[in-house]
Formats: sequence, C-alpha cells, structure tokens
Amino acid sequence: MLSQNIKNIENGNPVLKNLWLSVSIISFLLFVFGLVLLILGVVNPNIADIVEFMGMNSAVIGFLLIIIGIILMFIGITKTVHNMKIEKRRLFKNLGTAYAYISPAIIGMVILVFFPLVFGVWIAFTNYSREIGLTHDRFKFPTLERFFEVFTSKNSDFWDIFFVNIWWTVINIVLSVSLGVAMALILNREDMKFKKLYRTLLVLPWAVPSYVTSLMWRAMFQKEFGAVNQILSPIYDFFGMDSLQWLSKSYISLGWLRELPVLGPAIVNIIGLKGYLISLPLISVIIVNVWLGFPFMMVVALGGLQSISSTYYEAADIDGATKLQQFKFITLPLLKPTMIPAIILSIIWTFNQFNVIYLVTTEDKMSILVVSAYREAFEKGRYSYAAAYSVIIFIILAAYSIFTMKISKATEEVY
Amino acid sequence: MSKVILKDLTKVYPNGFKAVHGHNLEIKDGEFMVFVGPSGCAKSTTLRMIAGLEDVSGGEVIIGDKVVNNVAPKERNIAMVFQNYALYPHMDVRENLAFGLKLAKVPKDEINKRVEEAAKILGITDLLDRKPKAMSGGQRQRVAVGRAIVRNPEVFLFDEPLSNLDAKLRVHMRVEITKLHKKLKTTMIYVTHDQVEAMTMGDRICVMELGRIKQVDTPINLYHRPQNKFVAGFIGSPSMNIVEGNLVSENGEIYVITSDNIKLRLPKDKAEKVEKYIGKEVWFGIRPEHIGSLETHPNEKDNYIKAEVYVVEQMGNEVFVYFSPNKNQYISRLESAASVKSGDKYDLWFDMTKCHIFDKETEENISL
Repeated sequence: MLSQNIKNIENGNPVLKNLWLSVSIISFLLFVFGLVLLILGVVNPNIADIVEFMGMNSAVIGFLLIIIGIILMFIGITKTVHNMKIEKRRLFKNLGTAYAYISPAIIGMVILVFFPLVFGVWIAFTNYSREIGLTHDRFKFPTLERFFEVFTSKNSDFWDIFFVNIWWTVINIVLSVSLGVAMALILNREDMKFKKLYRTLLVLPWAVPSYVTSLMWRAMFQKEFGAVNQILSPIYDFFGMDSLQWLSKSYISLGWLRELPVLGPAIVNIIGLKGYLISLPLISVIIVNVWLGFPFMMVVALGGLQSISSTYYEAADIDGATKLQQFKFITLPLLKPTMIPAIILSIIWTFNQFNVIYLVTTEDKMSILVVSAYREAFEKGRYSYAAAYSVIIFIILAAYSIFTMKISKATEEVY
Repeated sequence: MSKVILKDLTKVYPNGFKAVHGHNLEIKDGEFMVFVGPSGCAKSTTLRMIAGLEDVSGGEVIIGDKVVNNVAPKERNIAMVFQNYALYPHMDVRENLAFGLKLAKVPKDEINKRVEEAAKILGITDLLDRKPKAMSGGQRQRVAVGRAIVRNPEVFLFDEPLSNLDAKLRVHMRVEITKLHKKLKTTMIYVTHDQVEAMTMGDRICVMELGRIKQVDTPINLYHRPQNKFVAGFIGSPSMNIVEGNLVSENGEIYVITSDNIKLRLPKDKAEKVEKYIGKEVWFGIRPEHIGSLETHPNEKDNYIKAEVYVVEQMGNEVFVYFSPNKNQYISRLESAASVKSGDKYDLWFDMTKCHIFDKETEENISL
C-alpha cells in the first residue's frame, strides 16, 4: 500500500520522477571526486594528511567514494530506467543486472587502468622527477616542457629510437609472417609424416613465457660461454676472426654517413641504432623476437590454410594453374582475411615488445620507445619525461589502431 | 569433341582399399553419359580419374585417341563442374570465367569474347561483376557451368552439380543442362546419386555399385530390362518390390511362391526362360505399377490376393498403397481415383507378364 503510494507520487510528480536520475548524476560526481582524491592521495602524502576523516587518508576515502559512487550510480540508473515509459524501458530491460555483473570488472579497471592512465598523463604535464618531488618548490604544473624536450632536445634520442622502433617492427613482422606461413605450408602438406609432432615442437617457443626465452637467449648470446658462439666457433676459427659480441659490439661504423645532408641521419637510423651498419644487438633481438613470434603466425596461417577448400585447387588444376600460380592466385588471396587481423595485432605487440629488448640487450645498445620510457623513469628517475614519452607512444598506437580499424573494415569484404 | 574409353580401369587407395574394380566403358563422341549409384559406388572416383584429379592404379583412360593416364588435368582438354561449384571467392564472375584462359595466355580480346559468349548462353551477363557470395545457389551453378564452357573442352565432367540446389531449382537446372548438351553437342559425363536425374538427362546411364559397373544402357532399357537385382531395385521410384521366393512346377505351369506364401503363375514366355530354376530359390521382383487393383482388371482369374492396406500415400495424380499380406512389405501404384483407405481389405492383382526373376546367388536377371 505504501509502496503503491510512493509509486503514484513518483509517477505524478516530475520532481520525484527525476529523483533517481539526480541520484545517478550526483553519484557520478561522487565517483569523480573519489577518483581525484585517490590520485591526490597517492601522489601527494601532504594532501593525504590534509584530507583526513576518521583516521583514513585521502586515498582510502577516495577509494571508498569510488565504490559508493558506483553502487549509487547502479541503483540510480536502474531506478531511472524503471521509471521510463514502457517502450523506452524495453531497450534497457536488463541493464541493471548487466551493470551488477560487470561492476567488479569496472572497479578493477578503474584502479588498474583508468587511474594509472590519468595519473600518467597528468605527470607528463609536470616536471616530476626523482630530484623534484610533487611537493618541491620547483614543482610545476601544468607545463609542456617535457614534450618539447622529447621532440627537440639535443639529448633526446626520441627520433633515433622512433625510426629503430619502426624498422624493428617492420623487419620482425616480415620475418615472422614469412617464416610462419612457410612452416604452415609445409605442415599443411598431406603427405607429411609426424605432422602432429612437428606442429607441437614448432608451437613450443610460443608456449614458453617470453621473459624466460629472453633470458635464455641472453645467456646463449654471451660472448665467451654462450651457446651461439660455441656453435659458431669452427667458423670463427676457419676465417681466423674473433668471436662476435652479439649483445654489445656493433660493426662498421657509419659515422661518415650521418654527415650526409638530409637523408644521412635517416638512413643511419633505419639501419641501426647509433650508426652502425650491422648492429649486432639489433640482429640478436630480432632473432629472439622472430623465434617468439613465428609460431603464432604459423598457427593462424595453418588455420587459414585448412579452411581453404581443396576443390579450389582442383578447379585450378583443371584451369591449368601451376603450383606457384595456385599459391599466388588462390592460397595468398584466401589466406589474407585470416592473416590481416593477426598482423595488425602483431604489429602493436611488436612495437611495444618490452620483454625481449629490455631483457636481452644491455643499456643503450638497442632500444625501442617503451624500453626507453622505462629506462628514463626507473633507471634515471626522470618521471615526467618518461610520462611524456609514454603519452606520445600512446598517441602513435591509438592513431595506428584507428587507422587499421578502418582498413580492417575494408578487409572484411574480401570474401 | 571426343569419345572417352575406360579400359580395365582400377583404383586402389594407399590403405589397400580397392575402390574401382576394372571398369570397361566406351562413351561415344557427343554422348551424355550419366554415372549413377548409391554413395560409395566410386562414381565420383571414376570421374575424378577421367579428370586427372586422382591417380589411375591400373588400366587406361583414353580421351580421343590418347591414353591420358599420366597427362596433367589441364592438358586433357576437359572441363569440370564441381558439386560445391568451387568458384574462387575472391574473384568476380568475369575473373572466375577468365581465370583458366588467362593462365593459358589467351589474348585479352579473345578472353572477353569467350566470356561474353558463355555468359550469354547461360543468361548471366548481368552477373559478371558480382562476387560468388553475392549470388544465389542457382546463379553460382550457372557460373560454374560457364567456367566450363569458356574452356571449350572436348569433354564436360559434372560431379553432382545439382545436389546443393533446392528441389525446384534442381528440376529447372536439369532441363538447362540438357538444353546445353543439345546446343553444344559435346561429350558430357554426369555423376549423380539421383536416379531421376539420371533417367531424365542421360543418353545412356552407367549404374555402379561398390566399384563395379552393373549395367550400361539407355534409360528405358534400364527400367524395363534390368540385368540384375541391384539395377532393378535402384532404378525407379518407388523402387521395385523384390522378395525371396521359390519356383515350383504344377500341372505344366510354373509358379513363384514367395517367402510369404503368395502363389503367382508365370506366363508362358517367362516360364520357358526360368525352367532350369524349378525347385530353386530365386528373387522375385515386380514394379509397383504392375501391382494393380482387381477392380480395373475384372477378367483376371488368378494372380491376385486380398490384403490389408496399412498406408495410403495420395500423390494427387496417383496413389501409393502399402500392404503386407504376411511378413513382406509391398507397394503398389494405383490411379488416384482408386477408392482405397488404410485399413481396407483390398484385392490386388499382380501383372506377371512384367515381373522379373533373379538368380538367388548371382542376382542376374534370368527372365529377360
């Protein structure tokens, strides 16, 4: 009876009708305020002391507010939907339950993804570093200095590393796709014996965690005792040369090339870091990454190959296509829709392949953008510089993703 | 145009399974030959050996005057239409049709001419720029046939080309392909498991079972003069009633006594042929349309039974009547006007002049 009355009032009174909508909006503000408190509480111990309530510092209060905000938002939205007209409500019928199910994920995302992201972007606009803390007199916010520093400073190696990063990505993708497709073609032969055994063996590099593989390769590349040089030693002896220093020494300096106007530096950058024609550290990490990357391409290509109906090849046989023509006109075009999404993903993974570069190479012999950002932050303590670096990497990859999303929409039409 | 000859053709798979047991067959120049049989009878395997998609284990495939056992498919001057069409999904219709010619380095003008021509014959001119996925099954089927036509082959091979189409379209395309054969007058070999397709399309039909050719003949001969029990049972729908029986001689007449004790008198001409089998077990076969209603044959003195009808299938133009006097099940085909209901006791008359008697062991027809 009472709830009936309330319902009548809610339905009749426009203010009460919008009550739950207001609750949703207010709880959203509460959520944002909680987020701000959490960020401030984490970054600034002083503020954490200032905003104190019942013995809790601001980070804890912020965290609580976020959770209360999410719960109230959930109730508010459910009620608002409930009060909607029936035909509108149908659209949101199970929304309340849906929010309930995803709320743990939302909370997790807020703490693990949104907060670090916002915090990182915020730091990029400060001069926060190991020396200049958040409460230091010289602490500045907001400032664009870090971005200028990344792009234009003489000490910045951003452009060098950016070119190396692209070069590294391209060469890795080309090698792992070719190797993967080649392996898949061999494994897909009908007359192949022990197919399952080979397939399992070839997938193994993918199954081992990449940091384990990286550390193993690092040991294998070791100059005196590493397996690589041990195996190659007869060749070194034959040519009477020193064993190669895979991870530290680069060969054939290209310093003179760098002096060339305009194109010189670009060429040097593309060939290898620090201007060496054969950058052994670059080759080493490429070997490791292709070793890690080709099984994925092989598995995807194998799946793609197996989905190509054998009658296409029979039809092509009758049409008079040679094996090579069949590969060019049938296998490749029909493999494309399977491979392109894998390649798009793999480009992002390789562009950001932190483990291999960081664990295999030693400092500044070989680097890509994420590794540089990490080294700047945690080895040199230049937090804001590293944050600006990361924001730029983020923008590059976001732009790439938007671009590829448009492309991949086009490729959906292949079949 | 050329003839196709199979000489002692065998196929043994690597696992030792013998799929084809020595086919001997001559397909005449310009003939429409249909291979028909239940699944597993090796009709497709035989076709694929003619196409060159399967290796020949023994014997010879001769196209024209040339033994082509070791000749690549493209040099056999054949074209094949596949069951699932096998149109290249990433190419439009024009590219699909032109693919073979392009590989053969035929000049561009010539390719265009032949593609347009084939498209016109099949009525697919307005589809030339479409991709296979944007077409219906029937349209894809036409394109698949078109791809065969542009090659201007000496022999067309069809591997169950209509089995992916719906019933109505199948009937339509059946007529189209027959028309195409009349127009092109090229040798065509057509594989199907559907005996209606075989009967309506083939100049001659080759019935196969378990890798053996059971009979090669015109549709009408297969129907009326089946050489063995398998062909008799396979051709015709609903299929022939075939039951076990004994031949006995009484008062100078020869009777068939079926395993469910129906006693039927053989006419003189049939009786003479089966004389040697008196006292032996045989298979007795009679087509549904040769079991009639006694009402329409009131003068018959014998060869009729009274049986309870348990199912009546009204087809509109005719009625299928199922009855089972004892243990065997028979089906009879009556005019639709026949006043029969399930549960009725009904008089059915066996037209013994049209019956067939098969050897119990060899299953050969001994009453022809």
